[in-house]
Amino acid sequence: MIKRKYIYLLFILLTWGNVAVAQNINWEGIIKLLSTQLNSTEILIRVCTVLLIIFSLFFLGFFTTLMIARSKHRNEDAYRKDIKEKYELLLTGIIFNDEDEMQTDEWKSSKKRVVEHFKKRYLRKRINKKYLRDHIVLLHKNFAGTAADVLRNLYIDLKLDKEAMRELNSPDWGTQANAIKELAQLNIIEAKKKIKSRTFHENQILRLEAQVATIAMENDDPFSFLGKDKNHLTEWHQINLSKIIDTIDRERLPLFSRWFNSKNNSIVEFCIKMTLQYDQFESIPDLTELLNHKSQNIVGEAARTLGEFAATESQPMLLKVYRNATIPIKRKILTALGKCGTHELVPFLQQQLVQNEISIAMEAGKALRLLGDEGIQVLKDQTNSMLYGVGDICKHLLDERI
Amino acid sequence: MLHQVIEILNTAIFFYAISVSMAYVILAILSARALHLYLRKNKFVDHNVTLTSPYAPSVSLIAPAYNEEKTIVENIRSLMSIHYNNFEIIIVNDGSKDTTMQTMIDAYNLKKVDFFVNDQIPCKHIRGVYKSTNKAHRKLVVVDKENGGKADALNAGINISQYDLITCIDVDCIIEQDAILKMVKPFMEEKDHVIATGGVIRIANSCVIEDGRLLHAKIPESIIPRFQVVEYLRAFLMGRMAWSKLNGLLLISGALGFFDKKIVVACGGYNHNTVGEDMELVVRMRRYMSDNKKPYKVVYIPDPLCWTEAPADYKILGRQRNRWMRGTMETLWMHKSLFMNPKYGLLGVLSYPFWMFFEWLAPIIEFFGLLYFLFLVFLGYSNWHFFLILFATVYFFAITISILALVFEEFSYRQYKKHSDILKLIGTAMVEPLIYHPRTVWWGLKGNLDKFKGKQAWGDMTRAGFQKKVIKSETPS
Repeated sequence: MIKRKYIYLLFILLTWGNVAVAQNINWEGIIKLLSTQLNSTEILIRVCTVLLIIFSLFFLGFFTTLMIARSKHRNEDAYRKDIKEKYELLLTGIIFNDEDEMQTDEWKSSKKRVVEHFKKRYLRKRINKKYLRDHIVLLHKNFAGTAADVLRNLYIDLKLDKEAMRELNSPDWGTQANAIKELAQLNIIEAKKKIKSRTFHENQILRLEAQVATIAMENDDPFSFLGKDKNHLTEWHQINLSKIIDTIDRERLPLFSRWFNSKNNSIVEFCIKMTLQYDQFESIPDLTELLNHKSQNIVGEAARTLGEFAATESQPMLLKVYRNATIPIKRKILTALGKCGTHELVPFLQQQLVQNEISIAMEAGKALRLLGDEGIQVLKDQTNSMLYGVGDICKHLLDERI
Repeated sequence: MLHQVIEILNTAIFFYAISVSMAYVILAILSARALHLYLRKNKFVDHNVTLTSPYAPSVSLIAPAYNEEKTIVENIRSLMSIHYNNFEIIIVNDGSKDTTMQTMIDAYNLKKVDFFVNDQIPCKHIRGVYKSTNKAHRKLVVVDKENGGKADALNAGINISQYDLITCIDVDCIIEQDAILKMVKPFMEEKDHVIATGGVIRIANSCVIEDGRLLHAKIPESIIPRFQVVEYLRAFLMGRMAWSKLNGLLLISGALGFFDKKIVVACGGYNHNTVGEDMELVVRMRRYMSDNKKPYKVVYIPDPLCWTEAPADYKILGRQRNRWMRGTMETLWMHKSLFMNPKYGLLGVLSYPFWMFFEWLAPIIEFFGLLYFLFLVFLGYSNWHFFLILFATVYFFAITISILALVFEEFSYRQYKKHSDILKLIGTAMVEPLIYHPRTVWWGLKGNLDKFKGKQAWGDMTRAGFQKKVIKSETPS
């Protein structure tokens, strides 16, 4: 405490000292000096003087910005922390109650009081409203059941949904995306139509938020955008969609093979992944057909899924495609054959094990290991192979510690 | 005649100073835009999605270790606590002369396995590959090889790695736990083929570190690392962010970089013949993509993901800068055909010339500029007027750029929380051009001389270590 006092004292002294110094600076002299330089006969000196003035002004500008920003950020942090504590106190008072208790008049009047209190004290300031919205969304994310319902009702009672709905019309993609996230989290049904219309938006983030929200909220064909979206679904986009799909009722899931004939290859890839994720075995014939697709990525993804499904019936087609496939696809097919193949494949895999390409040999070896005793015996027999890498690959695959 | 020569030289120096300043101003503007957009987009990003997804890419993390017996166990523990599901940690013992290997064997119950090494890229003889008998350490692979230097050790790690994405790190750095989550995102997000990503490196001196994790960022107590804090903020938040926006990045720091293994292997891996292997690899990868007419990107992430201990004395710092300069020269020389070559697009006509004129030649030009001035003083031709005003302009420009870097930091990550931290950094920025910069010029110049003399050594990089600042958590009884 004493130390802090000394620091304050030092700060005051220094400030006082600086003011005194600033007062003593001969500003007139400096201005005169600069104007002399600006009128110099040498052009380089004139240019340098102009630049010097510009840089000095920028320096002062950035310095001031920095100091103001630091103070502002600190104040904002403190204010946010303070108001968050107040909100928490008020909100926990109404959400942590028994369901029976919530039916009582006392609880209802307490809730009404809280709503009034919020309206009077906190909703006049824009920043408070923003923090409240953020806080309700955060709590809603972490609660389920009655507590979540109470939060949602409070959100509607405070007319915060109207504010978010208005933001959907903002020209700024960030504001729109934020509003979509919020409305979807609190399941504001009236926003569904507007949100759905953004599922083809050119802005990738806004489009993703709208698609995620539509999947979460829409009961009537929530995946319809997959049939129309011409934009490339990046892997990141796909991961986000798959995460939200994981949270919805399995009964609402469509058969993803419906979009296997989409002209958008990224959508086909995504649908193959979803077919696997939700064990849609009925799509095996369609997946087998995809092995003839022009896109190598789709062929690889289809092969992988058939392998995971242990779809023995796809074995002849996998072997047929293998002949003309690129090395990465060959590797994927070999992995699939290891998972869905039968012991009849052992001679074929042995042949792949001893050819020249190391990565192919490795996958063939892994496939042999997956086929069980017969395959493992082949690996054991080849441990002393003189062919480059084959023996070492077999030893590697037989070492259970790896 | 002499007057005319002086006039021409004065003008040349002036235009050089102006072009350097303008280049930095443009980079600052581009950085501001890129940083703003990144932060805005990031508000909607939940990296935990990657953590739980079965579709997240698998990553091989490669860390070379040389004479690290005192810290290796702690370092590996820190790496194993990184938040990511599908990854393996490959520690390459590069023929350490101390007990690094035995320490790892004892600490992690390692046993030699029949590991097949795919010699895709050249490296020194691998004596053995070890895995732990403890299932809890199944992600760990330890490679024991003959000494061949950092590049060689990384190549050995690449040969061992089994996944398509590799990350090369310095084992003694502190990697943020969400570093992989953040750095794999560009590989999944961009339409163009991303061949490499890099992250911001920060200075860990005086920071509070516990169990290999950074708990609290603090300004270094010593002035030398503090200079480097300002320097790193300027380089990473302003320089590299802008080059990333332009897709003209030539350097991804060796302390933390992510690469597409397929391209690294196709390019032949790290080059043993340079001390700037990190920069050389990026340039070669870019060149490979351009030669094969494949669209690609090298992406930079402004998040502070890696904390390193900066040299705390001038002698060691000088050796580091000397090596960096030689590395730059070697890379530029090896890829001299890129210079102003429109075939390589921005890489040839902008990135390469920038590095050549403003990174390699800058110390030489600055030094000879000073010599030239002294020569004029000696001859009695000195234009003190011009000298002083040019000096003041350059000084104000330098501190303005540094303060701007601090503004960027304030509006983005605000790692240094205390009010006094900002004041200390401002003070450092104001004296840096007078105290620190002349030394960097001298080290750069020495690097040039050493390169021409044929010096190839890395130079010893003794570090004080984080131990002093480590707060060990109590062992539960």
